[in-house]
Amino acid sequence: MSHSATKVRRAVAVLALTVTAAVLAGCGAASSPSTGAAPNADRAAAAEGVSPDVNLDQCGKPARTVKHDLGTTTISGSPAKVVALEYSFVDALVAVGMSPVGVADDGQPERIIPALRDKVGEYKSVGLRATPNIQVITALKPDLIVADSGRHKAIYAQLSKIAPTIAFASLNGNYQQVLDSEMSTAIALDKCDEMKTRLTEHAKVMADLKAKAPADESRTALFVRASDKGFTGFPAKAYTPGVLEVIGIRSPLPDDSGEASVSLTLETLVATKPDVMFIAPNEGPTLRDTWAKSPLWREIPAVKNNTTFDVDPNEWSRSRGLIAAEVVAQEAVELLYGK
Amino acid sequence: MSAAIVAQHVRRTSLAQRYPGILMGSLGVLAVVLSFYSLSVGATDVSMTDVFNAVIGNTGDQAAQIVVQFQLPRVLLAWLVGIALGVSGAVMQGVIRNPLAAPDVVGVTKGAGFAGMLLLLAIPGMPVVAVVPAAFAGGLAAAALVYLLAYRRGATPVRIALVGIAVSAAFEAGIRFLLVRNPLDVSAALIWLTGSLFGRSMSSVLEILPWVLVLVPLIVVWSRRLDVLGLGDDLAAGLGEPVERTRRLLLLFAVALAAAAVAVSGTIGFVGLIAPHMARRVFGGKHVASIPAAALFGVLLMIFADMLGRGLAPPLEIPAGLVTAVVGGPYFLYLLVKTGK
Repeated sequence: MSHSATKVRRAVAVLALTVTAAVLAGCGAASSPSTGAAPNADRAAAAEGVSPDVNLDQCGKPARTVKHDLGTTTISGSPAKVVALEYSFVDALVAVGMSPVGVADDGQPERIIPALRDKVGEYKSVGLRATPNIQVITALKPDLIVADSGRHKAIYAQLSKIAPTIAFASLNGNYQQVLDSEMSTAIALDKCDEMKTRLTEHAKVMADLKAKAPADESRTALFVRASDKGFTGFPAKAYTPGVLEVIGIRSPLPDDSGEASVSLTLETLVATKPDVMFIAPNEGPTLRDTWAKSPLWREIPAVKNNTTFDVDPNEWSRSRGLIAAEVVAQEAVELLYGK
Repeated sequence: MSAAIVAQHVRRTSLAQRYPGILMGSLGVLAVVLSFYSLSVGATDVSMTDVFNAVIGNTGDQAAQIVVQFQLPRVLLAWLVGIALGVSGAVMQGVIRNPLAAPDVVGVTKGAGFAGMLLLLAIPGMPVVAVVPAAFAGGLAAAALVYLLAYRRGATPVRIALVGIAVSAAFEAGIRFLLVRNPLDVSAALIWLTGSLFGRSMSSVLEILPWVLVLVPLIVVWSRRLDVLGLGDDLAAGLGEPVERTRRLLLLFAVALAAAAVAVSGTIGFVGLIAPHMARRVFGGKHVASIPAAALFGVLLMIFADMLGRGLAPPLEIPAGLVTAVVGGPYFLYLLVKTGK
């Protein structure tokens, strides 16, 4: 083998490595999962707070065609047995006075928040939200399945063989998307009027809570999930900050990054300068315990002002629903302004 | 080692080598029986009668039928992935002449994993089916990169193994980077990465089937050449074998098989490493016997892992890749200790 041939090969290999590196660097800038609709919906829509994309004209029809993130699905009759593959959809069922026959509850029923638990009653766990057990879902013989459009995209075809399946953004959904998906779910359930009433009530609850906050509230509040490996901050367009914004509390994280969440280091956290921090810690020791020992931690305004609050990740982060939003807003108002 | 054990060892290997057909046949029967049994394992009650009815197309209990319909592709996929990984590992161990060689070592697994993750995480809204060709291409590209970097007047086994580890590490870093960048989407991607047969349908079966159908018989036909390569480069060249060309082609076949397996099932570790080991222990070093045996052991491992993952803590599903790692890790350690003696 000649020397030059070896050189050429080496050049090709180096080129390949460089391309890989460039692709990596590129995706740093390019990856921007869009989280959809603007937070301010058309208030004039027939269902309060719901964006015009929701096809309300299907309400009350015997066979309703529901637009959802993975297509359109026609549902006839009034589904009675419903399987919810995310907590958001349990929220939607409870909001219209129903309860699911099966829930992907991660095998941890305590993750269904107290505000929903009693109304949910008996159900069958269908396993992890990420990998719901298709066998168990089939055995439940559901009339409708509500799935997450991200997590369950790959098994959507299989779910559709079991029962009509509608899919919405829950995991990556923002507040507006959650309200829309609750309404769309209600259309599928033939419970339009119930949901419209509930949405009006919801708007009133949120307005009352907003009234409890001073109109000139200028403090920013950061919502973070703390685990042993990371500290994840949620920018304004994510679900929880979206709920807080409704009652007049802004997020200190800039919204121009387009990211659904931001991984924070202690340094970036300090630079963010949150006036208030709502921390939803995972069980066991978290990074916060380590960071709290650092002098930098005490530089954070929220720590200095003693306005750092621990909140329940089930209520503040996992549930992502209409009822859960009221729970979050209520607790935020209580923590910040007293009862 | 006592004389009795030596005698027993000699008798066992000679028995297996004298009647490889019978032993191979019984392994095959065992795999088929286990497959049928695994169809009935899971979170709901499905009787063996339901399974047989469903497989032959009789309408029994409808829910049980649907269950079997969903399980059947999984079991078929377990067969194909097991065969692909087992054969791929056997060829790599033969070609690289390193008992630690496996699809993981030549960079296929991590390369395919990286390409799949890149697609899943960095480009939202990508159809899920696109992961398969991307992961396949990633696996091939990674192996090609390893071969190129290892090439210096022919690619010696040691260089391939060492460069493979380095390239795998680089892709692993890439995977980590993608995970850190996209914390919200991670859970779905992680499940693919761990390797699982969850939610796979007949289309996944059809995606890997042609590779197995074409490449495995080809490799079996070429098994004599693998034996020759095992004599060492000089001796093999002396016997008239075009060493580098044969090695390149066989590696390409093995890499393609492994990449196809990773593409449809995610990264399932240890099967490609352990199945060939088991095969060699039972059937000896002749590739004409050890390659089909590695395929069968691969199938048994995959069916077992998938069944255990479904049956251990229903309704929770434990990814098959996790089970193979838990079962494979200790076996691998046992092998290391055993060969170290």
